[in-house]
Amino acid sequence: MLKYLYCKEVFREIPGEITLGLSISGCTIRCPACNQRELWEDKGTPLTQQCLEHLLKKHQGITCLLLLGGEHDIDALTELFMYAHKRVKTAWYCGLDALPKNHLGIIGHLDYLKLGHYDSDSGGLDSPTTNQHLYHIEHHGDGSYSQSDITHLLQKH
Amino acid sequence: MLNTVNNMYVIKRDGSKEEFNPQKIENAILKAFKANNYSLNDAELKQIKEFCKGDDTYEKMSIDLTVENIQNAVEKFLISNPKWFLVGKAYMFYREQHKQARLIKDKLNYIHKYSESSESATNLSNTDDNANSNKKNAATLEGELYKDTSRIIQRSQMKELLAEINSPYRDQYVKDLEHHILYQHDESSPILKPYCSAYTLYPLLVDGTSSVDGTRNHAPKHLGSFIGQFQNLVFLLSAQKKGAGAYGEFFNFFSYFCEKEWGEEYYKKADVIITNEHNLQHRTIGQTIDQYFQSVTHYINQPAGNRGYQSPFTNFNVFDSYYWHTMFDDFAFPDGTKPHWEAVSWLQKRYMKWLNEERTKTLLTFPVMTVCLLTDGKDVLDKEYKDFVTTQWAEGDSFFVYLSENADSISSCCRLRNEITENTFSSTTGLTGVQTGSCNVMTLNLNRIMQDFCREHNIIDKETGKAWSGRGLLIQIEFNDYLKSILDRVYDYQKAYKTGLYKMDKQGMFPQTKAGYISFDKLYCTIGVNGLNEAARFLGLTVSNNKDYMDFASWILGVIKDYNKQHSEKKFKFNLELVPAESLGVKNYNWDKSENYWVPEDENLYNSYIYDAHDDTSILDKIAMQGGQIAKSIDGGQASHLNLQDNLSKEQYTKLLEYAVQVGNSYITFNVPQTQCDGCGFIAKHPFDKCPQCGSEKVTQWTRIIGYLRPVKAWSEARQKEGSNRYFAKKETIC
Repeated sequence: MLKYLYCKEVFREIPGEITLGLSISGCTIRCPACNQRELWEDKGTPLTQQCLEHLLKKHQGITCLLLLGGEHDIDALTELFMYAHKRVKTAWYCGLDALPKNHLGIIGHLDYLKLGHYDSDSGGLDSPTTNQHLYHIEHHGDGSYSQSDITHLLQKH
Repeated sequence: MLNTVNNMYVIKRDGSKEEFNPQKIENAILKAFKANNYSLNDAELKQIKEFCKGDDTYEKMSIDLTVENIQNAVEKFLISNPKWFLVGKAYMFYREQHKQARLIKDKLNYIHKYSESSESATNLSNTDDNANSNKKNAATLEGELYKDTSRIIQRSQMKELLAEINSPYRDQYVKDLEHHILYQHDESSPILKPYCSAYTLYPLLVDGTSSVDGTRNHAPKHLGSFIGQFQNLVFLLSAQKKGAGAYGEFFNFFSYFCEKEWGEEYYKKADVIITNEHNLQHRTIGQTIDQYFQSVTHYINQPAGNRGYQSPFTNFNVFDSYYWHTMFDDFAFPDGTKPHWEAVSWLQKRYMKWLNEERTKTLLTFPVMTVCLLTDGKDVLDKEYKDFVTTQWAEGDSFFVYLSENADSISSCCRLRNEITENTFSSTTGLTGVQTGSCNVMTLNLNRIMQDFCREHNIIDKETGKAWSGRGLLIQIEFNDYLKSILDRVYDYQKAYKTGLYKMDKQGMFPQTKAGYISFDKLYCTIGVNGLNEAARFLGLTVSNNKDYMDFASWILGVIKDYNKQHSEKKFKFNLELVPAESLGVKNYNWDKSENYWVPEDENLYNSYIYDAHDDTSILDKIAMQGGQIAKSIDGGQASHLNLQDNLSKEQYTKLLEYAVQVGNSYITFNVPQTQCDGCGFIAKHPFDKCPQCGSEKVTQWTRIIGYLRPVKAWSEARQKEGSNRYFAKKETIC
């Protein structure tokens, strides 16, 4: 089961959106330079569909739901995104450098996807030398989609 | 008294205590006789000695005697004997002379203290301190010196006026003020004046400023003379009121004169050069207009000598096309011509862009800009203006947006909202819908009122000092009556004040009404509220977007609003404002704390919003909490100052604006601290600790103290402390 530790309305992570961000704990990627090691532990509030429903209701006015992490249970994530995507835009900050082939289906329920582990030398998304990428996924209605790299939008300041 | 003499103390005038010594009193009395060449016989001497030691003299007084009380007793003693009448009279005269001397000495001491102090003018102020003046100087000192006397004069005047309207509350007024359940704003002027006004500029085109300043000038005929006279007018009118002045038609009139200079389509010719070979510098129409922008803007930021060196608090309105057409379609200038929307729209947008740019060169407080947008409850109707305001916000511009489903009200102030009762234009008087305002603001201290009520009903927990929980519903009905009984008195106080204004107006004391800039029956009597969050916390509620708290706030505000409506009549209309309480929030907190009322320990003043500006309540919750029923109840105004640490994108501002419309929030602004380097003067529309230009770490932050943009350094000490606790929503991190 996925659990989350932090839940907050944020403006920076997804350009142009009013985002509700949830940090998922139990991280298995464990980047060496990680500065949020409390997320390595399996602790926090269980993130069920019911819980998500409640959070979306409570944070009325947000335009995007962002889940950070949760790579250890992509199936559960997919279900949550499937639910949320009917109500708001969805975004996933994924610490993997590429999506596992057997889980590409999650893209069908996402509007934004960040890929890439955190490397302190390259820096985060706002660093010009970052190894990470933020994609905007555009769905064409017939099940097909296209993606555009919008990382540069986070690098203004 | 003789029995207790050893334990008695005298409290001297400076507050220090001294052991009681009857001999000193005897000496003083004997001196008085001697000064009058009165020879005392033995019997009289004995009588005096008896008095000074006497049981009867002091026993009815408290254990600690004050000098004043002793002197009163002596005075009574001296005049009790007809033979001593002259001595008694001389003694009274002597006391009066010393009282005068003490008063003068106090004032002199104040002058010395003020002049020597290194504090800002704001912190030196005894009464109604606000950050709208910077450094102390001779003029700010002059403004301060007699504020205490002014208050006494105003209160006496109020007593007279209450008698005039046959109010049963004439003696209660000062009691309510001194009990701090009620605050009369700006008592520092001994003269009754209206609070704030939104003026029409029509009379300026008829008589120039002559109807206000008595000079024999003429109505302006050119853009240059219009700007000059407008500037004078702002200062002239600022002397005739206590608060802000709003000029909703400024851009209409500005545009009228542009048309006179360069034709109806001047705005299409902004790049046309209008200088010739004789000009050393060449200038286009647009550049000429910008120069006038500069002139007006810098001028109204100048301190006004007649206002204790405060700048005249000035507001301009910008309207979207729907709003503008509703407000001005029937309007005509004295020459019969009409304002043209395309030209005005171009001009007001150009001004906002110019002002935003100018604020990167020098940080300017005024004008406070409000953009009025009409909505259908779901979205802003004028998409061009929706695009314009969100673009401006994203470019770091700081201004208010007023959202309304009907053009039946305007926000003419930093938060004051006023319903427009009649939006009919009269070509003879020039009366337009922009005229509105508030004649006087009296603010209830809800935290104290609630606690007084709970004390009376014995429902305070002795251990926590808070109300017993679970009594919410039971107290509602009784509290309604309790609050209404206070409001009954306040309505009389307000009526008395306004009666005074009407009277002075009849006597010709307010040239602005005679000239037609404003009419007093258009001004509301405003009931302010402060201490709402604190009253809720006292009752055990949590101040956040939760049902219990929101129900509580809606209930209290609803009671006041409905009762106001019930008591309004044409000449005395009441409205309700969530007041900024720049200095009152601090005062109420301190008064309540010192008199053992419950106050939150984690604050140093009472909040000015429905939400708590000092916790991490999200931006969306803040917008929602001051929307809906709350916004409807506070018919006299409120503002959501949404503190952000950095600017958002245009898309994000667009979404927040849409959300504000949907939840019925009527007045918002985004507040990103701006920073100026004290070294090189570099200004950025976001916070920095180290100047990116010169590396200096000496920087000044500017943010909205409570509505208007001021350097944090100019704030009062308590406000600076509060400012450091304000929560600015961070952009960068989730945890």
